[in-house]
Amino acid sequence: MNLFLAAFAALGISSSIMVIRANNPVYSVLYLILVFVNVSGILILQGLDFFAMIFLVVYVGAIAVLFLFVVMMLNIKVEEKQESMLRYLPVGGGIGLIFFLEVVIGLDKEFVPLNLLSLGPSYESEILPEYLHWGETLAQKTGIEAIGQVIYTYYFYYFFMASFILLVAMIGAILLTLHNDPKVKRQEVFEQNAREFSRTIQKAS
Amino acid sequence: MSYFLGVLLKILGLVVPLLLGIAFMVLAERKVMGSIQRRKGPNVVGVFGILQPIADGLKLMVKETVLPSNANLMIFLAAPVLTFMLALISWSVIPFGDGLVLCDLNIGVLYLFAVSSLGVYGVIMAGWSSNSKYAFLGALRSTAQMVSYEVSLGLILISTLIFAGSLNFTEIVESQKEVWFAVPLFPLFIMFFISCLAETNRAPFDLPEAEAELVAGYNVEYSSMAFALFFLGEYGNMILMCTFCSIMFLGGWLPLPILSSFDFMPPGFWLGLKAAFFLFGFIWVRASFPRYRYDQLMRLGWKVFLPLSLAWVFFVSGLMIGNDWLP
Amino acid sequence: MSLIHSLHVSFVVFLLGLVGIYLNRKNIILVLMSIELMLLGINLNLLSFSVSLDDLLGQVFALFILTVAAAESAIGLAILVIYFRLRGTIDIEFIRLMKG
Repeated sequence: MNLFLAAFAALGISSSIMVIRANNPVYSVLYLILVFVNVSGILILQGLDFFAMIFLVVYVGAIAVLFLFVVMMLNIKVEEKQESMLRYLPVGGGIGLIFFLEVVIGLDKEFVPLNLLSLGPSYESEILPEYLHWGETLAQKTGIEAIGQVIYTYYFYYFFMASFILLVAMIGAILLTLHNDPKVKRQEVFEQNAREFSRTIQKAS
Repeated sequence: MSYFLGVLLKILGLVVPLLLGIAFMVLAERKVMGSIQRRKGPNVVGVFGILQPIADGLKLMVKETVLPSNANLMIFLAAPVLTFMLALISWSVIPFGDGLVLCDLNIGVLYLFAVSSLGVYGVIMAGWSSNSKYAFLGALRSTAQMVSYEVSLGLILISTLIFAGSLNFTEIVESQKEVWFAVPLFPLFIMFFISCLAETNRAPFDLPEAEAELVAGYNVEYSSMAFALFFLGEYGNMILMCTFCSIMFLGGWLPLPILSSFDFMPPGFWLGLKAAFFLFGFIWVRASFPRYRYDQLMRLGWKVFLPLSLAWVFFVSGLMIGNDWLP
Repeated sequence: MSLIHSLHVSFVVFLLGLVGIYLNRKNIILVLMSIELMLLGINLNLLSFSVSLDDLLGQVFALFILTVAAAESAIGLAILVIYFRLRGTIDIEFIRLMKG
């Protein structure tokens, strides 16, 4: 299982490096898809099967298709991007390094006690008190049921908010990109169907 | 070790009959279309042309793979492999009987949906990497069509899932013991079938490969085995969609109530019978209907199917909650 | 499956998104993709903690972040498309000139 995790993590991280360093935007999008797929693999390893599938459906099936479409349709020229890289490297790299070290050191320092498996079974009782695994004692529920029971009760305001955000995004995207060209002829199906034959053709005289 | 061997054998036992099924599906399509159009269809190779698909496959195998000089080779070669792989891996959650399934996933329907949404990429990668106008236009059409119809497909699925109360295929079939979902949800059933036609790029929605305008759509530049992989993937997806349809609406492996004297038949037989019914429908539709225009296709997807299926979600959930019928 | 490993992955993905915004300032589509990467990193972080702490709140918020990411990319790409139609370019060097 750790082998799978290592494979997914390595592939995911290396393809996210390729996302930002590929010299063709189409490659970037394809690598982005690879990142999403690998992250869903990691989620499956964690037992979050529902979220892995939702990631695939939403990120890969919807968002990445949008990106791919836009990148392919706009036909952006491949531009030289190496030139300005060194200019901001000292400052940006320094800040980035500080951030990186801070989080990495923080991760290993702060969360080691929670990470029981990495310490081995002997340390378990010394560091943490014995606690009950409620997940095993309570009735079994699948992930979707549990999320549904929470999301439709306690967090339904947030759920509304999310749906409104999606609605606004949908209306906004349609309004922005819909562009009525008067030259384009459109088919009016209802008008066609409502037209009566006897009124359409009339005898002259 | 023996565990892996067992899994491998199971996978082979699923894939080999599938490939054979695809081969004979092609033959059946040509034969049925021939009968509908009052001609004979393939009848030279073997008795009644039964060996025709083998001959076709052999021909495709021994031909040379032509690689266009302007193509983006990596993506060009990856696209057919991806299409074929995605068509195969979605079969792992399809149950052929009670427990006769490779992986009884808890969220099988979602898995199938995710895999079918990945199927877009094979098409668009093929179209883009061929570096040809026809292929690119075909791929764009095909992608837009598949994405649009996936939305209505998902909404239709939600209604049936509310009835079934589970995302597991086995439980969905078990919950149809009383009545098949095609009976109470008949309009959705029809819409699902039509969406399946559009999702698999079949006639009358085969705009991506409109022969008159686009030669062959996204796979113009492909030849020999690469083309064969696309072909196999497409027909595999077709059979998959038909099986999916029969699991969701016609009770999967449950026997036909009117043929109760045939109850001794294995469950896979019934599933195959129902899937064959839909496949015949696919061919019949192809032989009978003229092709849609692209704006009509988009209109049907976004302005007819999407509102209708959304309304059905509201109706079904209201009905279930109001009568306290939720499973 | 330990928390630390997936936290590292999520953090590195987030950081790479950040670096991507910084490196690809000229190409706005890549900036949008980098934002997607950052949101993905955050999502993975929330989900990992949700599994580790046995708390559903993380998953619920991951769902909301997912919707926000979808909405953000849809609107962003719509703006890009309409900008390209108006100006014929989506170079950031020209977008920052607010005229017309």
